Amino acid sequence: MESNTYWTSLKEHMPQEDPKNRDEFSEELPLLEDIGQQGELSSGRRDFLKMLGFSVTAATLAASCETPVRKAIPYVIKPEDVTPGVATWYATTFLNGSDWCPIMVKTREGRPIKIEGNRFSSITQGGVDTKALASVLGLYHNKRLRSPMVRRGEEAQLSPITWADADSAIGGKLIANPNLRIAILTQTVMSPSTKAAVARFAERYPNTVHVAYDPVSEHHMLEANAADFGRRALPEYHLDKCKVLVSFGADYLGAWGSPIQNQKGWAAARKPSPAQPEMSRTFQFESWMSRSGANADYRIPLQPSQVAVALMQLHDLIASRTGAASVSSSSLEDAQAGERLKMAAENLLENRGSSAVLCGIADRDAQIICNNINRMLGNYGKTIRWERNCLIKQGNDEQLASLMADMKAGRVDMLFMHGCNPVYDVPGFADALAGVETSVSTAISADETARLSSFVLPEHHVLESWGDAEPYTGVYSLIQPTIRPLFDTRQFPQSLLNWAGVEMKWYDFMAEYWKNNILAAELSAERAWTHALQHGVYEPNSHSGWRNPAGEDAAYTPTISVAEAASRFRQKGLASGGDVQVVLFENALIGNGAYTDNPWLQESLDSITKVCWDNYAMVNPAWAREQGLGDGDHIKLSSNAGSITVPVLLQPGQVRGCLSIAVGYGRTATGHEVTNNGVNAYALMDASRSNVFGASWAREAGNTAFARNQIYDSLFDDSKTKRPHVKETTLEEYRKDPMAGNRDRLPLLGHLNSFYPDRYANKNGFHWGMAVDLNTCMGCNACHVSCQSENNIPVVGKKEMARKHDMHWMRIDRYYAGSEDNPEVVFQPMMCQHCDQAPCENVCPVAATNHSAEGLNQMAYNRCIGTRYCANNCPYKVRRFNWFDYMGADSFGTFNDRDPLMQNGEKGMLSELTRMVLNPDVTVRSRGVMEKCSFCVQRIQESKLYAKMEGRQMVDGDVKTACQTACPTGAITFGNMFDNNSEVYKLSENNERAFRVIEEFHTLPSVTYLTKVRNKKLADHIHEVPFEGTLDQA
Amino acid sequence: MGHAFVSPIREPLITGRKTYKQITDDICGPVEGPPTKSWLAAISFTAVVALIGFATIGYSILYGIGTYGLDRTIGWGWDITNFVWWVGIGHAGTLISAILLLFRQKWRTGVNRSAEAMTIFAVMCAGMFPLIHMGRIWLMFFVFPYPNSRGPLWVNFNSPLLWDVFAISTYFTVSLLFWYAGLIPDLATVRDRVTGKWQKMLYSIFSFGWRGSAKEWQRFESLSLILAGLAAPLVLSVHTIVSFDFATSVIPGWHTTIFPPYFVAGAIFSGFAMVLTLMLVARKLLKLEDYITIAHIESMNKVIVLTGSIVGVAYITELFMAWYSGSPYEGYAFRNRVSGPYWWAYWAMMTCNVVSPQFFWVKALRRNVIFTFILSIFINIGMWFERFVIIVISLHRDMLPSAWSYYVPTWVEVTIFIGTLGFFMTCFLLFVKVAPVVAVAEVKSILKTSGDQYITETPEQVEAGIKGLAQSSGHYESLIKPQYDDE
Amino acid sequence: MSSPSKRILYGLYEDEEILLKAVKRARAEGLQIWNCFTPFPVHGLDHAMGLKDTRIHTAGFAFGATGTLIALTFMAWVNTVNYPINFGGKPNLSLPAYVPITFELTVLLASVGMVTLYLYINRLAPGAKPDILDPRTTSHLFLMGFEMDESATAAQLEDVRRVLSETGAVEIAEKTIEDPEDGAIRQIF
Repeated sequence: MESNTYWTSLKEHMPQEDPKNRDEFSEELPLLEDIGQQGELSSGRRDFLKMLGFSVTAATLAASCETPVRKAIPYVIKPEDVTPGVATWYATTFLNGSDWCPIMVKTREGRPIKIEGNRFSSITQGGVDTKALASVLGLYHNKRLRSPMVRRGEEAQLSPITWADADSAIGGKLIANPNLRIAILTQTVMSPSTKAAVARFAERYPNTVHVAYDPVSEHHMLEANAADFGRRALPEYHLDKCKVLVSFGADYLGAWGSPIQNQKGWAAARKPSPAQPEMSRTFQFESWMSRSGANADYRIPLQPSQVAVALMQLHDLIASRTGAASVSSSSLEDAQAGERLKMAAENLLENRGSSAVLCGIADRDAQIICNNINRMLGNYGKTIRWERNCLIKQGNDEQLASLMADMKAGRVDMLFMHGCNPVYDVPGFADALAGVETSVSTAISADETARLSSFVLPEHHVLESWGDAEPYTGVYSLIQPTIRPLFDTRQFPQSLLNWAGVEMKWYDFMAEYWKNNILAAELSAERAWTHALQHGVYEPNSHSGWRNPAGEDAAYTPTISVAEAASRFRQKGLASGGDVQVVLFENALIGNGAYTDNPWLQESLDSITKVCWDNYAMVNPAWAREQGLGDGDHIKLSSNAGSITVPVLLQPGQVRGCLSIAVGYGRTATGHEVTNNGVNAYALMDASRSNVFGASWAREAGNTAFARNQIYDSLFDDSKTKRPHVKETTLEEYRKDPMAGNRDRLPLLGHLNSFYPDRYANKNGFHWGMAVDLNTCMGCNACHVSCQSENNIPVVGKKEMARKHDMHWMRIDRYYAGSEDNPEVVFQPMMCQHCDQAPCENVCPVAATNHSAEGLNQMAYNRCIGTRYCANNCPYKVRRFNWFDYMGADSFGTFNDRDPLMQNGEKGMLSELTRMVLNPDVTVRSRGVMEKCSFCVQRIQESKLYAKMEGRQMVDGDVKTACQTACPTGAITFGNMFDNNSEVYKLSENNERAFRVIEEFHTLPSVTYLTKVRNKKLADHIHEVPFEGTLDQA
Repeated sequence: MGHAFVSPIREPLITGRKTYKQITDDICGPVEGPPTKSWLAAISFTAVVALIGFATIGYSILYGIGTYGLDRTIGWGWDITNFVWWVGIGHAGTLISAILLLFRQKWRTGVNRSAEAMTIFAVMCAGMFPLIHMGRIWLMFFVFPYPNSRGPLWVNFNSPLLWDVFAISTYFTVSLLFWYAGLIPDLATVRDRVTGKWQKMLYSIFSFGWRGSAKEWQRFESLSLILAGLAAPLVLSVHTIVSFDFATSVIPGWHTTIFPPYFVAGAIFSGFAMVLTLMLVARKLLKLEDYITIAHIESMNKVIVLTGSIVGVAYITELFMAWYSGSPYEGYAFRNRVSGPYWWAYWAMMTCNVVSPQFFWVKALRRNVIFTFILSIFINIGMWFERFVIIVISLHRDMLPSAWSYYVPTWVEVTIFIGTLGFFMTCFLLFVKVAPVVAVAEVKSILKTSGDQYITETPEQVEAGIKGLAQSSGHYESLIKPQYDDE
Repeated sequence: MSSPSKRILYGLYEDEEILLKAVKRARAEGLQIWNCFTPFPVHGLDHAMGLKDTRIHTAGFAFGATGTLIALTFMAWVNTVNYPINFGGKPNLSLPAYVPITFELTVLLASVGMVTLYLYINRLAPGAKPDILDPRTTSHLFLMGFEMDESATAAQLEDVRRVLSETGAVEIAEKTIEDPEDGAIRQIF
């Protein structure tokens, strides 16, 4: 959709464009009546006016902010062309520490309301992740600081202060003593201009050190690369070129490395077709059920220490065949795992140069061994390349440690903490902070760090900011404001410049830096700058796409011998001590803790555990039963660094004797009680900041009831009969027969004719349909967060989620097959199937849900009286009922509003500020009304209007649903089923893998799924094995 | 229809030597006297329960259906369970009056009046649930096809829920008319006996000025007969249509073709059970043992054992079909009923509905008042569970395991249900106080044919009686002139 | 029956059998019975009195037929002409789906219509206050009455009294009451 919008609009709204079209446009607007026919317009307009009214007030408020908005060039329109009801798209970048993603921001009447990926980035190629998608909600967070704050004397509370006073207070100190020992602590800084600003500041104040750290660090990998390649960076992994992928605890589809790029590459290598029945084979040696593990062809659960052994053994297996020196490894305890390892080695050797070994072990020596394996396999320069260094993780744990030592010793006079929350995610930092005289935090809200700082100089939200990023050498992306700053905030680099006595606005400084450095080679820097702003990205070396990047390759020049590394690694051992081994990991869904205050992410159910609003220690179910532990039972975990009390969760696939906990929870200062949830697992990390360690555990009183909306079950739970709503096969079978796993559809197809007249016999106009490829869906939840943001889906809070009152229009179903200890996992996005013979439509007494001429199953919210009969009769259970007044939209006033973030009378999700995120094109549903996926009907209407405006036929790809645009692996395709050339038609009609869920009920769904193909030996594939383990209710 | 003399082997439906006067006194007596203490105590208790129930309904309307224990998988719970249960109970009354009238079952006269009253109150309770279970009850008028400015957008005539709207409202209206039409002459009787000023006024208002003239009675009988003829299929249609709510859906365990007969049988089953529960109490309190006799109880128990067995066969058939269909979903749905997390509900249903009525094959138990009473309670419970089993167990685990769930009611649902029980009892108590519990006129009309004192009488004896009577007035011949017969 | 105000000479009986015979006797003697009141429907009484059969059931059928027609035509019109909507891909004119509502409406109109008619022709309405000759007739006595207008001679009166007493009336009395006249509709039904 978005591409269509801005390209066409570009044509439409260029000055020289003739006024006729503009008139036509204003004439065509009444077409919105079409929307009205679905009963959405009236309430939509009411809501829209409310929004409009508020955004005006917000604008006036913002107008008081003296920072003038510079020439922000929206992708399309000159500001005076902003037409109410017409979206304006800005290309910018989501950036926070090492979370980076080029995005397109949809603004309506000056309000950012929706985020999508930027297709022009060669790295993410339009992909986007949940954190970026949900950041638009963060912009309207109630607890954002409205102005700078200061702590006077010893008082605990921060009090407001003006920027002038803040500057004079801090600047005063600086000027008074230019030799002040200053430290600037940040997360990874990808922004070259910010680095330049820091440099300018350091020029002025020579005793300045800049320390960068990452809450979830790749320090050891960086060090290993520095030792082997002389570059403290990550290489670029081309997973699309990998026929075999072996990972040792590296969650490359989750939070490891450059996730979106990994996902894109992984998906590209997993699209077999009858013409090319080829796909990559992935091995995952890991301790917890990670996203990569869930999607791996072979997943080998091992204790962390054993993962290390496996790595070394693989090294020797390869070495023995390549004539390299062995590191004399011990062999694995688990014989079957050993077999798998041999198989992996074989496969790797068969595919030298087209394979990759990834290592997620936080240990330099392990990384060195891994590097050597890849070298032996000749993967460098082919699947793993150094032309473009990946800079998204730059944190240095050693520097952090020494900084903390200095702070403790009082050797730091002034500390700036920018874009980080060390008091929360660095154990012991609070004590160190006490030793600093003047501490300045730039937190956007009063987080744990801000609360202990002497000054808080709140940053703009990224959507209000100017900035840039260099995630890969030679790959740049720009950040431009999409709205005037809502509050009296200021960007940190601006402050640095002010204090450094540089009389420049941050924007000018940045623009100048670009022209003098990044754009220096361009003929016209001005044009290049404009072009870059419009596209949001600037990739001088790879205009022709990223697969043939220019740049310097790096030679393998090890400064530490593998043997040395191996022996040291063996002695050290991994996760020694304690009676269990613990792995801390970053849940890619919600991040390392910076986004815990985001209700959309909190409520998004983890696609594997199906739990939301919580973190927990995942344990092996059998082990837990032996210990008498059940879901939610509390245990006390003690490492040598600290101890926490955490509820356990019985997780199939979790290895025995190992517990895994997601970091990022247990915040204490998110501003809302409900988002201060879970436990802070960072507390277990010792100074080495290793995420793997030994710990001892003890049963504690208490139990946590998880908000979990899928009970603990598998596909095959009943009577060994496989329910055919998810279909699988193996590559072997697929090669023989493209319809493998889907044969049971053939007899069905014969019976799919009805004695009713076929309403779609003459294939005129549209019949909207969707195709979902189960092979490339990896359960990242991006679609479902995107849907939440597009369709004004309420957040209901943990209590309601626990009662299974979830409102998501689209859910990611997860099914297990096989044994509890190592099940196969399959994800299935499930949304309204828009059946042509929909059971729900027949039973609605008031005709509130019925079928559109374009095959949409439509809901007239205003007509619905809430009998819930349609939901009962929906075989897919995708209809959602407004049990309470989640949106503050019913006719009963506010006394019965259900605001999950409401605390001491203060509204959260329902506050006027937060409601600015609502999409004016989508009705806000009131209590007692049924709702469900609408195939983004508002987007269909919009693109119809544009097509009409341009006097052309709709073409395939004009309409893109919110879930489709968000999917980083392109698993979702949407389009017109009547157009035989459309993607969706090809996928769902002429495709041996195509099937529809419970087709035998003859509901004729418009959503098609493609059989999942696993690249594993037939013998290893789990077919109809019943699931051991009991179902637990509630 | 002249004299249908009952054969001596039929036992009397009215015991004790009664004259018309006595009958009137016996039945109208309780109505005319001042309310007794026990009655006052009872009704004030039930009224309070009813009020609490209504208050809870108000709460659920103000705050939303989220106050129920339902979730995204289980959209109906106690609400619709109670609805179907009450509708079922509401079947006995009209069935007894209508069908038994068509079958000329004289024994109905003792119980039909109160059974019909019970029907009406039960349907009132039933009707409440489809309304209050709506998410937006304030828009409930949407279900009526009335001209409007939205197109006009009518309703969906394909929806079983809409059929329900028509079925239930029609059933209620017709039952009410049927009941009141029969009540008018008896109210007139009371009107002509009471002395109190207010009583007289009220009863003359509600008796619509009935006189009991020959023409009135002629029309009365014709009306009753045709209303009965209409009501009989109506009774069957109502629960058939209620069963369509489930039978026409796609959910395994709902999508079952045997539902209509199965539901109707179940309805009669539960209806008779409830009639017994109430009558056994009423006849004791109101001293109507002469009019609601053991014979009545036994006949009703016979109906119960029949319908109970029909229901039992239906249960077994369902299981068989689930296995025979070979559909994994159907198969699982029923395996899950029997042995799933709700097994206790299924077996409670089985015991109460299928096992317990079999005791009524034993004559002694059939005729044992206490035993009948206890069993009737069991059946009421069992039939409630039947509806719970069908609705909740089928819903909580349907096609996609990802959506499976478990349902526990909240205090709101429980309170509302108890409230309707209170409301029902309140109405019934009011009824027994203000109206003759037994159809006076009808009982009188069967006195001679089924009454105790006439049972041994032959036509000759009747003649003799009349003769004696006439001789007293000295004109015997004139009385028995043959030419007067059959004009 | 000329004027609404009537002078009625009536006798009360204790048993419907006797009443029946009395009615037959009176008619045999050529007396015109004005009306009978009984506590319950006495079978055959109407025939004995020579009353016409009621036609209320015919009316019932007419009402019912109207219901059927309205239901069918309305639903068909709505779904095919006025506002055809696609529900689950089913044909718009789906007669099977119309059956339940058609049936219900038939029954509803038939019963409501009949009862309304019944109340009307019997002059039954809340608060209607007819003149009642003897209140016991709704309890246990059976009344047969003869209208005696002004023209009635003493002989005629005597004759009636004789018949009443001979047929076993336990009480014989005379009363003047208001008794409105039957209009056309009441005549028919």
